[in-house]
Amino acid sequence: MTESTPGQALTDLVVLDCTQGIAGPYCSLQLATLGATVIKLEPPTGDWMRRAGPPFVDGVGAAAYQLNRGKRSVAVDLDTPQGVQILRRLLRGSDVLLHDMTESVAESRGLTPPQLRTINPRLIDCSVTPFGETGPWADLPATESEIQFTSGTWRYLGVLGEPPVRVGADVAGILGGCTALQAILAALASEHGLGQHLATSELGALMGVSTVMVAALDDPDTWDGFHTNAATYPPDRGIRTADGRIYYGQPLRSEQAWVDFCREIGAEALLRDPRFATREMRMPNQALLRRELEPYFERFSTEDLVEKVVRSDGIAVPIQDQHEVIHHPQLAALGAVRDADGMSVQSPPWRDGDDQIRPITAPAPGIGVDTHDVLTEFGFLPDELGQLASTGAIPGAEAHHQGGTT
Amino acid sequence: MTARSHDPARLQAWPARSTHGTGPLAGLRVLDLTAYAVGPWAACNLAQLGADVIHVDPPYGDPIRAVLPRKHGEPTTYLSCTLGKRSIVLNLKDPGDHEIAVELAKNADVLLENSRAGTLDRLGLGYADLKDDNPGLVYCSSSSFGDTGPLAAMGSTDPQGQAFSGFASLNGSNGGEPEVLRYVALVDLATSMQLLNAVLLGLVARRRTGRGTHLRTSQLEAALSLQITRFAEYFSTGVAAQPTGSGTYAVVPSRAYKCADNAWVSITAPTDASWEALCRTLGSPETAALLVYSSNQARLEHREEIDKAVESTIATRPAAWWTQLLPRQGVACTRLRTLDEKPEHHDHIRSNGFIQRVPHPLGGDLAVAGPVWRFERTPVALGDPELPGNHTRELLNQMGIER
Repeated sequence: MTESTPGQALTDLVVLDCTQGIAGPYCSLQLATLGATVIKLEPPTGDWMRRAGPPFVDGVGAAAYQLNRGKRSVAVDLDTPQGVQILRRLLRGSDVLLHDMTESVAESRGLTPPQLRTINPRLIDCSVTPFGETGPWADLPATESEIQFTSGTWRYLGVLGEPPVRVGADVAGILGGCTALQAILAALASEHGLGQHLATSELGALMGVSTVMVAALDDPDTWDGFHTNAATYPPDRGIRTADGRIYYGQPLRSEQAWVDFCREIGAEALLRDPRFATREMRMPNQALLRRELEPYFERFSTEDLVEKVVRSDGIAVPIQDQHEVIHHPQLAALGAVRDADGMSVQSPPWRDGDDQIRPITAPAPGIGVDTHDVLTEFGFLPDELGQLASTGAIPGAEAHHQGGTT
Repeated sequence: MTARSHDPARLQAWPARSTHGTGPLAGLRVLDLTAYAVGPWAACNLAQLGADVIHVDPPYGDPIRAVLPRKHGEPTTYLSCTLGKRSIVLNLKDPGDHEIAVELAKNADVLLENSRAGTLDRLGLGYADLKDDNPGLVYCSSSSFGDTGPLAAMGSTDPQGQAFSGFASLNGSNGGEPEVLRYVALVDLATSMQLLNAVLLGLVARRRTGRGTHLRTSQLEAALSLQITRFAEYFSTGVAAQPTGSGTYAVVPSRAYKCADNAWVSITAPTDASWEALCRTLGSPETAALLVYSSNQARLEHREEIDKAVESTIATRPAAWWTQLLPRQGVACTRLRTLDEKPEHHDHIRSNGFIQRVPHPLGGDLAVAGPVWRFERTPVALGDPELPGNHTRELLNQMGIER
């Protein structure tokens, strides 16, 4: 059932993934990089994310294509009793159910944690929902943007009072997926982890990574520091150079390094400026310092300046767009991007010396292309398949001959 | 702190906690040699999962302690990353203290570190130094740009990670210049999440192989992974994405709209059904006319026309009107909220435990984010924040060391 060899951490693990969008598929993609077999259960019309684009890859939205590489696809409509019946049979032979049911949806489908345990007592079932599995917002519809805007992260981009700006990356989805991955791995790592319900959410994940802000805003002694004041700062775009922008951090180890650096770029005037007299004074005045440094930085190329800063024991990196970062030699050194039949694929964010982690370069499946094969492997008989197909509960037998997306 | 003289033979392995957590990792021993935020918050999460975490604080103090603000005189950022750990102050350059750290490392299940590449090797606390004595050790390192390659030696902070990785290039007003997400430390804490994943996958692998391993992640790799959906777009087109304000590249409508009361709502209709529901519910002649754009493809092609019609209709009513009405019809619509409006007072945040209060070590309490997972049978819980060195004496006593 799986092509992985015994070396991987999750070899032999069978994961049923009923999620759509970003969070769940990101989680199951990473489970696959660790050796798990992932069976994607999607409605007959497919994961809605498949239609998010352009760009499209073989008719599938580019993001959905990358997130669903290496998975098998079974088309089943879980909003029908027959669909739920099929899922129940698949669960007998599975180790993990990843889903996006809130408590109320699980109840309406007869798939609550206790009910799942009667089907398979060792099953780990993990939900990853937008708002969380319970509470007044649990069943509200939401996408990445609604979760970001509920979490408050948007407040630290753009200009106060002007149209809001969201984080361009899909952070709610990816971090929600990360928390689901953590929950499943922690259950698998535990002596007592099997046979239980786990719950994670995109909003919970975004709140989690905002914990430093939550603590800082909790009635501090004084309203000092960048965490408390960040909402009212102007947009932070680093410092302009002759040919781009850099993000600069002052020397950390010695005051002399700062003096030498200012002299080197011809900024002696800053050394006489009382607002920047010590590192402790420059720290909270960073926005101001950036503005004052800019006329000097504009005289040098980004490359030249980065070299000067690093030599002065400061930190400086160019503000790069996607093209620049993907082609930076640092990414090549890390093997962060691989080739898969002429298409680029991102590697997972961890590396080891044991070959436990293998980037998935197989293509994404077409909708339901593995339905008949998977159901047969799980013990469905040809007669049953024919009957399910005739009632429309699963695609016809010819569906898997229409080819995948390769 | 002065050197402590003791007989190594009398060192008593791991000074276990008297009570264990109930989480899935109950009893697991974690040595946390990290500083700043990435490592400390990852270790905090391990403590929530039930692990027995010992954090080594340097005698000069974790540099993150300089970050303001403070509550009851203690820096909130430091406190929020210490929950549930026991802190011991050790000077790793002092031979006596060093020996204690090595003893802890030899008896740990997991070691976390985020020093610059090579630092722990020089201190004799690298993976190569420990793996023979402790073959089961899951040793996890987090660096800035990765432990190899031309930038291996460079450090970074959260905004530098955003700038270098392309993360910042996706943020900004529509058609405007890229900007950095200010001081949430989201990329740093996302790195914590990947460091935690590394620990957990190492533990799962160890159950299978019986051996530990050295796992590595970095701020750069975590920041790249946060952009996987956006790089997918770039890999297909070869064109670097630009900021799109509150909107998205792939779905129309999806944006923030200003309401009659000057509050903003976010509305997204990713499916044909939700689009139809939106047009019917908005109920204006302009929006009814939009029903002809019955696929996302068609809507992407008429982005401006759709935006204008939705915008003018949304502007006629207050935010509460729309957040009551639209979700009931299956349309994603939420009011824009902020962390400084005390989300913990909302029923939803409370019932999911997203924000919780923990006892402040100097009195009163401190609001922090709650655990990011629920476990039905192995429940997790937040520990309490700690002051540096709070457990030094207790841990040394347990190890049989007299000062």
